[in-house]
Amino acid sequence: MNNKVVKYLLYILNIIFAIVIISPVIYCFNVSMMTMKEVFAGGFWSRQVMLDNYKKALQLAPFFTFIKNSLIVSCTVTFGQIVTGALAAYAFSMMKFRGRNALFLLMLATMMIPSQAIIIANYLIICDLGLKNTYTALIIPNAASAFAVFNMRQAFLQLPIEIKEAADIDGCGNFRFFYSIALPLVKPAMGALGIYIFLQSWNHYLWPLLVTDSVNMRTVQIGLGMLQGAESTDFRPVMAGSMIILIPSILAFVLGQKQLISGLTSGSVKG
Amino acid sequence: MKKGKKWLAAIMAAAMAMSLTACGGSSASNQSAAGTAAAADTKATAAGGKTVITLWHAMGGVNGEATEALVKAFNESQNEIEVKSEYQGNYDDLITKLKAAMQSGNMPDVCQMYDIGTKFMTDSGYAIPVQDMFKTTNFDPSSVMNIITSYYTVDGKQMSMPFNVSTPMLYYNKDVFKAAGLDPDTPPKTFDEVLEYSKKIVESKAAPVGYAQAIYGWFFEQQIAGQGKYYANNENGRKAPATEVDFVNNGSGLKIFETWKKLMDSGYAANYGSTTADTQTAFFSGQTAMIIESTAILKNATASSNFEIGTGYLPKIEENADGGVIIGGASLWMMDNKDDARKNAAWKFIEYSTTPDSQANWSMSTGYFAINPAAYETTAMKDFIAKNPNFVTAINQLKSSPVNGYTAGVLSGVATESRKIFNEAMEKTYDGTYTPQEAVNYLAEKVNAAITNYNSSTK
Repeated sequence: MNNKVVKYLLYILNIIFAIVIISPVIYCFNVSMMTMKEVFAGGFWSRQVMLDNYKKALQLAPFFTFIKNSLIVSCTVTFGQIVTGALAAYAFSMMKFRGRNALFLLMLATMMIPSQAIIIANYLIICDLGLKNTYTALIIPNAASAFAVFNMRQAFLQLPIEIKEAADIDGCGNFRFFYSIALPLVKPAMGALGIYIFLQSWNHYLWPLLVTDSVNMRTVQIGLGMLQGAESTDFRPVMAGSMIILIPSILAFVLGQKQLISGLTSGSVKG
Repeated sequence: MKKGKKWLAAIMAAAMAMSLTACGGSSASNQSAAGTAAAADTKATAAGGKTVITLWHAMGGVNGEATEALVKAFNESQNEIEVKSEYQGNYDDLITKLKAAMQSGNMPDVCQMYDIGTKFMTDSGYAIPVQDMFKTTNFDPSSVMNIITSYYTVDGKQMSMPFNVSTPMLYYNKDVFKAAGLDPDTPPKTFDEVLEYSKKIVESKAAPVGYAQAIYGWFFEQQIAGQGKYYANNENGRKAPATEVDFVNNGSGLKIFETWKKLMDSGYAANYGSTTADTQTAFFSGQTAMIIESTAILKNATASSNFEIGTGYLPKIEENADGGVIIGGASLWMMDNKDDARKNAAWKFIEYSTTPDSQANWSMSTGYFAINPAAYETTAMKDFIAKNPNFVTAINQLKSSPVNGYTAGVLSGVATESRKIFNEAMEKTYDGTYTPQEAVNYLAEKVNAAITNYNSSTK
């Protein structure tokens, strides 16, 4: 009986936290429906359902093009980082070769370099290669990251070394072991990493702004910038734009989360 | 198994190499490739018989729409030149991108740059002074208001063409003024009056706060000019590069800090921080009865507020015949791409932007000033002003400001940094860490160090 009370109390607490966390998003949604004077009148709810601000946002910036571009870039970047990260991490955790730790440390050291410090150098390289204003320019510099390698290595290190030894004895090669045994076991880590990389890439602003010039190559965050004025901003189209670009990132999270849970259960059975 | 190992190691090495190239910089091959890129650009220009030039701007929202409209009107007005306009983020993003573009040789032909980037652009050596182009089309420089061009004039030469221009002014809530028993048609003119009005407003409970202004270095610079004083030596850095600040020696800085501190300590004024949008929100929502803001927000303010808005001149610290307001905003710069056709095309576009009709449309849709006084004589503009009497305050304030070295504003390569340091000094004065005198000394010391540093890097 007592357990049940605790359970319901926890539920209530959960709901309260959920409301606190989601209320800014709801307010953002409400503002996207408000009239100019309503915004500053201080109310939380909008008095009407109005799509004017969405029309205005779409008129000021072609959000559907931006979403398409962002999806192409973010999905490729996520795929690239997981592939390169998992392969490199496998080598760093499961294989023994000379200079392994030194290489790993060297790679970790690159995480200490702030991205702002190298962004101009990267821009110059992209210009040299003639890749300005292309998807390649948006993707390549982010297709591999030390963080992904580090993250995946931690996941591989969680696996008992006995599995690897058993595989070795049975004559299972590195590729087969990597693909059929190790990867399925670290699926949850991959799911979490995937969501993280996707959202990070989705939120990139300065890099896409630097390497793209034409409006049809731009990504969503620049779209939001296009709605803001220099001295004062009408926040309603900004909120409408935010709602539009929020949808794909929510989808990414929902899809990734499903992977994450299925990964957890399948891992527990096999492990 | 050994084979597999090698394979994996190779792939891993490739992954590593990818992330490393992404991090490292190779400057050796820069020049040649930049040259090819530039050559490719020129080819694209020649195609179709039209000269294609690029405009980079930082105008978002309605201002962005107005910029696109101006470009469209220009492209339709003739058939030799096509301007491609490209939004490049806000002012700070734009200057970052332009700096990178200067290094890689991918500069646009026309670039918008905010007021405080003037010194950087001049020193960069990549800009073609617009004054050099006046003769090519017999452009009459007097068609642009003198007080506006004075800001963008360096060593007696007009470097760029003002584009979006604004000054600060006082906004007040007429409904609150009435409720507090104040005359809604006579706004305060000095900070003493601001304090007096605020007291009446708060004590009569007409509004919770009488007056507010964002912590913003621009307002500090304005009040120095308002007192008819220089911000920096060498006549605000316009006779020769500034080597140190002047607001300590001439006493103007201390007066400002003392006035604002007194106002804030009275309890009738409030500080909403350094984000100007927060102070705007406090005003639009009726929290505070008066604010200082850019003339460019008038349109937004009128649409946002549930009360009648009044406008007045920027309140002064003290009356002074030489004092006035400094213009802010941004201007259009011509970038030197070593191509005469594009250079001439760029100038033609800039010239077009100054015509009375262009300026009238620009001013009506954005709320910025028309830089060409003839724009105010067009019928469309006359109707607009008749409907928006508050706009007259902004124009009159600008017209009544004397044109001199004080109102030309400071020409500084470290303006962004100086404003950040000012924010710190002002915050510490409000919270009582510094006395006004200490704050002025702190500000002067830090800004002087920044100026020295800048000067030694440009020698």
